[in-house]
Amino acid sequence: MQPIFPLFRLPENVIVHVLQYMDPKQLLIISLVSTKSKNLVTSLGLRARNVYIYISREISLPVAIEGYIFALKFYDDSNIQNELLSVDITLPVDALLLFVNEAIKSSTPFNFSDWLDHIKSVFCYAKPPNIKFYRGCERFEIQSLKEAIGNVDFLHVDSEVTDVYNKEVLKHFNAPNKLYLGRNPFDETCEIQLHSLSKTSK
Amino acid sequence: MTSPASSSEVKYLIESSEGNTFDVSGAALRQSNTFNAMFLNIGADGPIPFTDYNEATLKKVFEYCEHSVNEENYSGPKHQDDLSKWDLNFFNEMDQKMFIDVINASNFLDIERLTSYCCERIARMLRGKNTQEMIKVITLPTAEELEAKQKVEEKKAAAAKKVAEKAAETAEKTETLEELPVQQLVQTTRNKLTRKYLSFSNE
Repeated sequence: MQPIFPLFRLPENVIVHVLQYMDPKQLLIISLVSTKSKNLVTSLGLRARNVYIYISREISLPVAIEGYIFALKFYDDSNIQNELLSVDITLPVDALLLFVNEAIKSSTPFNFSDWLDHIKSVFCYAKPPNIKFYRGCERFEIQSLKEAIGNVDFLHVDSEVTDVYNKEVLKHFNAPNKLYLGRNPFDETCEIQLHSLSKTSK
Repeated sequence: MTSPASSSEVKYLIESSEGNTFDVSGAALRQSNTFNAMFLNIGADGPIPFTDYNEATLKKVFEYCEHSVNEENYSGPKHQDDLSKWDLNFFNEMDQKMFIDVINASNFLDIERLTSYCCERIARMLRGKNTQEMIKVITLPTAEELEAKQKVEEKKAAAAKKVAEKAAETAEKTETLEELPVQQLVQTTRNKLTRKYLSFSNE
């Protein structure tokens, strides 16, 4: 049987004191319990240094906070046969703690956007996040990703991402502060243009 | 308050919520920042009233303070694993109610060392729990329980409304009843006057 302890009936300064003995992963878990716990964790003023979003056939969200890093993983349905089955990221989803594969559930259903907003607000991260696309990311609809993530600071598209998807990424996330493309998705167009230019010059 | 020559031997009288008093050494009491701020400079005539807390709780808190008088100056919290046998016994022999009372009293008295140890102990208790377990452990009502509670509240409000309506209805009826004697009075007066008029006309 779980021991019961009425934490939230203690004075707020005592609760904050208790929270100061917890690591960011525990704080994230307790912040999901209620609005009060979320506000108390936020009041600690812990600041995430960086928030990255890695999109492959799953989405990973590593968060670095004052020398501590934890990462959440979403849509890790590796048992499903069809790898490219498209995913609706507007639906509620549980998070998995990367490396330990421990599920983290919110007390009310969260979709990916809610998770991202929650982490950004609890760990005082106001900047646009950094986003990296890898092979397999094509199962996520780009418009929904844009709506969930908003503007990005750093955009990275790996060379193994298809040209069609790559162009869609560039169309939607069109104003990053930094951009890295594994390869130029417009290569083919350039070649055609060069080819037609050379033909006309002849 | 007694005041022997050496300040470390000074004993203060503490008054609990039951109105009982007991002695605490000045050295132990000085671990309380609240005491330091409130009484140390101005002194205290008679017992110091900490009447929000019962005797058992205050005695437990000051037992800790008396014990840690000779410990080196407080420099941040100790890890629970580093607690002495005495400290461990001190915490382990408390039931949960006493533990909560001790945290509250220690927080009010602002005894840094004791409050920190208590808080770390709670944090350790919550370590490794997921959200659902955390909800159970810290006894927060779940969404379903809140909904059920809300339904009960709504039922209560509806019942209270019915009672109020009934009361208003009864009051209305009472008012009508109260009006009756007045009407009867008017009628009686009217009858009397008619009889008088008739007797006059007969004369």
